[in-house]
Amino acid sequence: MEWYTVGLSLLGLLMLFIVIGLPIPFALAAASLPFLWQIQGFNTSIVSAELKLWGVWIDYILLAVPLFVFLGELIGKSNIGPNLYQFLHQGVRIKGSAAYGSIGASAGFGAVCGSSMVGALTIGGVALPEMLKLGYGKRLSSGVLAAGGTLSVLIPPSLILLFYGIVTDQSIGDLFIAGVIPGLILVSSFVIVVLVWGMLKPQDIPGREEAMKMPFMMVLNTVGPVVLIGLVITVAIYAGIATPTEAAAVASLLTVILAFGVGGLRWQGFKDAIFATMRTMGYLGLLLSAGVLFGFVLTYYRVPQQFTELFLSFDLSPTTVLMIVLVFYIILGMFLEPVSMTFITLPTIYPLMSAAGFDLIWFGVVYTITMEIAVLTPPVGLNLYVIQAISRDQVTIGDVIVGCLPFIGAMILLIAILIAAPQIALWLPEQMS
Amino acid sequence: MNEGLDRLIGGVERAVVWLAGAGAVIVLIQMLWISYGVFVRYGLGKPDRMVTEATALLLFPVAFAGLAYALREDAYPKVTMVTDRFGPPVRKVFAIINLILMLGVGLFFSYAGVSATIRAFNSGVASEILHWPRYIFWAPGALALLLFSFYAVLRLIQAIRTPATPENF
Repeated sequence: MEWYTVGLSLLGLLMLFIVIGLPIPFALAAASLPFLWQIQGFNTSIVSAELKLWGVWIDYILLAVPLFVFLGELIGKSNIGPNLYQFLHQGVRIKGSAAYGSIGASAGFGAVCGSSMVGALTIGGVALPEMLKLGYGKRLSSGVLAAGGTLSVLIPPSLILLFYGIVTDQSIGDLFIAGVIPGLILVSSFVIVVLVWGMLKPQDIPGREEAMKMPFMMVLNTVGPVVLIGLVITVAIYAGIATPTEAAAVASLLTVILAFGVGGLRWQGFKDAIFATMRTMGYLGLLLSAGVLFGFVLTYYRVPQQFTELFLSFDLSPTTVLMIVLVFYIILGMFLEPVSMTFITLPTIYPLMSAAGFDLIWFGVVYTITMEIAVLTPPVGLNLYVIQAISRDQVTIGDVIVGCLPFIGAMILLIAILIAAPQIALWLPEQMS
Repeated sequence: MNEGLDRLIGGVERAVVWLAGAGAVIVLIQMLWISYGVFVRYGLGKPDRMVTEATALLLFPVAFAGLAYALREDAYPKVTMVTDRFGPPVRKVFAIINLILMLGVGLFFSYAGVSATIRAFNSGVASEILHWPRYIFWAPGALALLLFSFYAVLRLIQAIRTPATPENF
C-alpha cells in the first residue's frame, strides 16, 4: 500500500471511531490493529505488541506521569489551592482583587500541578461562587477561571510538556524550564486583560471588596506549601540534583506531608486522590500502548517522513508551515482533548517542524499554548464545562465561552511574541545547559 | 436474569476497585522508594542501586491496573457531540458497537499479556540489572487486561438487555 493510502485510511478509520463515541484510546488501537495485522499477520502482531508494550512501559521517565498526576490530585483534594486563592484575594485590597487573586492562585497552583482541568476545578470551585457573590460579571468570572486553569499546563510541571518530551524524545527538564518565562508573560497578560476589561466594562468589577485580612500564621500555612513544593520541583530539576521522575516522587511525598499537616487533607481525600490517579492512569495506560502501535504503523509505511517530504516540496516558508500547523491544532483542539491529540498527531507533525528548521524545545512551548487554547474552545473545551458545572444555575456555557475570548486572544498574542522572539522560550534552557 | 447479571457486575466491580487499589499501593511504593533513593544518594552518599530499575519495572502493572476502573468510572476521553444528536435507540446501537470494539481491543491486549507472561515464564527471561523474572511484572498486567475484557463482556450484555430509554442511553 502507498503511504498516503495508509495515512488517509488510518486517519479516516480513527475519525469514524471517534465520531461514533468510541473512547479515544480504544479508537487509536482499533484503527491501528487492522493495519498491524496486514503488515505482520495476527501471530507476529501479538509478539510485536508484547515487545512494544514492554518497551514503552519499562521507562523510568514515564514513571513521572503517575507521580505528577498524584501530586496534582492531592493538591486538588486539599485546601492548599482554595487557601491560596483566599490569600491572594484577601491580602491585596485593590479593585478587582478577586479576579487578580484567581489568576495568581491559578499560576501558583500551576507551579505545583500539571493538569489544566484540576487547576480550573480547584481554584474555580472556590473562586467562582465567591466572585459571583461579590458582584463580578458572569463572563469575566467564568472566563478568568477557565483560562486561569490553563496556566497549569505551561508553568512547570506540565503533563502536556512531559508527554511532548516523551513523544519527541526531548529533554523534559529543558521543556519544563522553557515554559517558565512564557508562563510568566501569560500570567501578566491575563492581568492586563482583567485591567482592560475593568476599564471597558466597569460594571463587571465591584468597587469595594470587604474581606478580612488573613492572620500571619494562616498566610504561612497557605503560601508556604505552594512555594516549597514548587521550589523542590524546579530547583531539583534545574540544578541537576534530581531527574524529573525523582523530583516528582520527592514533591509528591512532600505534598502528602504538607496536605495532611497544613492543607486540611483527610483520609477520605487521600483515598480519593490516589483512586483519581488510577482512574487517569487507566486511560493513559491504554492511550500510550495504543499510541505505540499507531506510531509503528505510521513509521512502517514511512507516513511521517513522506508527509514531511511532501509538505516541504511545496517550498513553503517555515513561517507558513508553522501557521498551517498552528491553525490545524487550533481547529483540531475544538474536537479533541490535548493528551489524545499529542499521541495521535505529534509523531507525524514533529518531524515536519524539525525539518522546517524549528527548535523542538521552542515548538514544545508553542504546542503547549495551542493545547491551552484547545481546552477553551467549544464544542470540546474541557475547562469551559468544568467551570460552567460549578455554577450551572447562574452561568451559561455561552457566558464561559465569551468570557474566555480575550484570554484566548492573550494566548495567541503570546504565540506571536514567541515567533518574533524565540529566545523568550530558549534563553533559560540555554543558560542552564 | 437481570438481577443475576447486576449481582455479577457488582462482584466484578468490587474486584475492579481492588485491582485499582493495588495499583495505587504500587504508586505509593514507587513514591517512597524513589524519595528514599534520592535521600540516600545525597544524605548518606550511598546510591541505592536497585531503585531505578525496580521502580521502572513496577510501572508496568500500574499502567493497566486502572483500565477497568476507568471504564467503571466512565473516565475515558470521548467525543459524543455527534451521537448525542440521535435518539435513545440509535445511541444504544452506538453504545453496543463501542463496547464490542472495546472488547475486541481488550481481548487483543489480554491475549498479548497472557502470551507474554507464559513466554517469559518458560524462557526464564529476567530484568537486566536486578535479574528479577519478567513474568512477575507481566502477570499482573495480563490479569488487569483479562479483568477488563470480562467486565467489558458483562457491560456489553447489560447494554444489550437494557431498554433504549432516555434515562439509560
